[in-house]
Amino acid sequence: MSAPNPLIRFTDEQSMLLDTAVSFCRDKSPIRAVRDRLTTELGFERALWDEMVALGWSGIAVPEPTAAAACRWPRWPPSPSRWAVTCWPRPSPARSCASRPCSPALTRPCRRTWLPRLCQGAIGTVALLEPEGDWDLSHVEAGVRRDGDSVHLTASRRWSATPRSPMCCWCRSTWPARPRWWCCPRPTCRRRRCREIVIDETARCARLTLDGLRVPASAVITGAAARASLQAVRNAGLLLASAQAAGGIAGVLDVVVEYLNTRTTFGRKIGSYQSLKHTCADILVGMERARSHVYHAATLLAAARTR
Amino acid sequence: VQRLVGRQQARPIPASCCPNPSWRWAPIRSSQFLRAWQRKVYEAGYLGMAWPQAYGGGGRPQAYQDIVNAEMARQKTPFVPNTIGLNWAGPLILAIGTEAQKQRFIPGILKRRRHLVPGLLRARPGLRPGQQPDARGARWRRVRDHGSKIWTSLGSYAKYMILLARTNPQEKRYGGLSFFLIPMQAPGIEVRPIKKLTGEYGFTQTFFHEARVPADCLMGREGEGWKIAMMTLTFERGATGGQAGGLSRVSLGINDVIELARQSRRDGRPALEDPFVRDQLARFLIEDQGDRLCTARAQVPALCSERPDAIPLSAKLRTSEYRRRLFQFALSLQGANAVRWVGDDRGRRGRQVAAHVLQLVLLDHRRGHEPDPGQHRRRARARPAQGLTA
Repeated sequence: MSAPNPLIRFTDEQSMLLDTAVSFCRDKSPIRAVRDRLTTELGFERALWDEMVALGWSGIAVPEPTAAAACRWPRWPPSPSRWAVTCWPRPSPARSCASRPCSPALTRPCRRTWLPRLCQGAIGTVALLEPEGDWDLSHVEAGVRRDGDSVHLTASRRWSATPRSPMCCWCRSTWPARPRWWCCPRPTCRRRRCREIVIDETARCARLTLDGLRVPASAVITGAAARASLQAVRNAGLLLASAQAAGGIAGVLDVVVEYLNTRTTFGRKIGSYQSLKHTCADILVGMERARSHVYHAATLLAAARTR
Repeated sequence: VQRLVGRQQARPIPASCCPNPSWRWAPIRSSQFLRAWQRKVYEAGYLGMAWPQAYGGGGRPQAYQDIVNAEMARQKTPFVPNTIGLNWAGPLILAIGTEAQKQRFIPGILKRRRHLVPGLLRARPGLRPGQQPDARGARWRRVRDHGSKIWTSLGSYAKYMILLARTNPQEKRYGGLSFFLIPMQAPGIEVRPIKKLTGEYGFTQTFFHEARVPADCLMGREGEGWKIAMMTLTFERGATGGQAGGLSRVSLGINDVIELARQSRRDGRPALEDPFVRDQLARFLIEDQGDRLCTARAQVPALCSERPDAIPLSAKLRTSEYRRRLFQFALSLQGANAVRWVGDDRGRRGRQVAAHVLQLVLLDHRRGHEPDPGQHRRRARARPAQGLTA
């Protein structure tokens, strides 16, 4: 077995973006502000999100020709692992995934309809998980039945970290036994969602019941495009989840180190004890490895998109 | 390599110089081979490629040496025996040494006439204040009675030694230390080989009995020893560039362990088909790739801005812990066949003891205790053997 090429590419443009994003998060979203937002319905500040949209970050991973006016950064940014240290004040990684089903490889009407709106700050999400929590994307229980120009849906989904009323929600289903994507517009979603509580208090999760729902047939992506979009969502989701986890480790380590330098026992700071220092060193080593993996994955994903 | 660095700039290493496989299993007996190997690598132009030509180096950009290092590692060539001189002391002398020290040490380090060893651990010996002229007018320093350094790598073969010693007994901890490059043949210096668990003699303990060393052995200024020692370690860890190369070595890697799992049997089937083995291998692969990616990331300053030296300075911890666990796993895969690896007639049990002792010694270090391998060895032998599928 040959080892994968340890490739990490990072352009000056991305470096500039990273610096800006880290400063933005440090100034606008310190840990106290994040804790204050935990109890709110949305979990984030709309004004802060609008600032991020104005900076062009909402269209950051969307190819320039598709939404040139809204996109300033043409490459996939591997920076959420740094942003997550200060709790990225975004609606959710799911919003970034929402642009994946209408990637350039897919239908042109779909791109024209949704990508510009997503880039301009509209909030979308994806509903992937089966009710029992199955996240195997090849295992789909939701069904779709065609009826003229519309389709009937039979599905119940969990979708994570979404605000109260997403503009659209991409779901997947089988029809029959082949993957399909379909898009639910805002009014439909609003009536069928039910908030669920998860351990991560910064995240928002809901159950979506779609039995008997009718959507236009034009809102359905089928065939090779559906398979490609499923893969795109999977790749983006894994990258974002990994980046968020790596950043989360860094944030937790900061909290731990601060605590070790605060609490005193037997007349000494507990951080002076080697067993605690070495444990922190092990966490740091693992975190640096994880972060390197994230940057490598982002490089590969950017290269695949370029191809 | 010649294509990459330019055929005119480096001569080929003759095929007759390629390593004899037997050296792997008897590194000490092969010391002559390794010394000859370094000379041939240097004469071929592959050592000190980026060091100044005035001192015997190649005078080329560091990228040339990096290319050669990577290729030598890929080819699994032997390491050069004077690695402390080439990769610790050499870059340090070039960075802060006097012109006389550069002229004196650098050519010899490259040609292996100046073999250096580290003496940074266990900073017990001290130097008495003041300097005393000897009969020849040279200024010498006297080392305190009964001082010693331990884990002196290849100390039996070295001509010079890095010595971190306390020159001001009034100061504590990091203060009052000075950094020396001392001749091992100086009067009062005694080297005692340390027998390792594997039966080899790689390390030594160095004793100082009223030893006298030339005053011009001092690197930097008196009392700056800790700062210079830390600078030396940045060269050792690779946090600072300028090393002369030659660090490649034959070592068991993850691909070797995967092949081992393919050949080993568990319940009549290849161990590689065992889900537990596959899970362990996947974890090792992720760690291995993580370390490679860390090396790549260290080349991108923007991605290391939070802790610029965290990756290079943690390299030794990461790789030593990873390899310790990987080797232990490789032994478990071999079952009883592990005894045939280096002809150890004590068998797998002996290796289990060795692995367990290493674990306990590392644990001692982690807890900040003084390691006692002898005690751990006695306790480990008293433990019941753990069953492994042969």
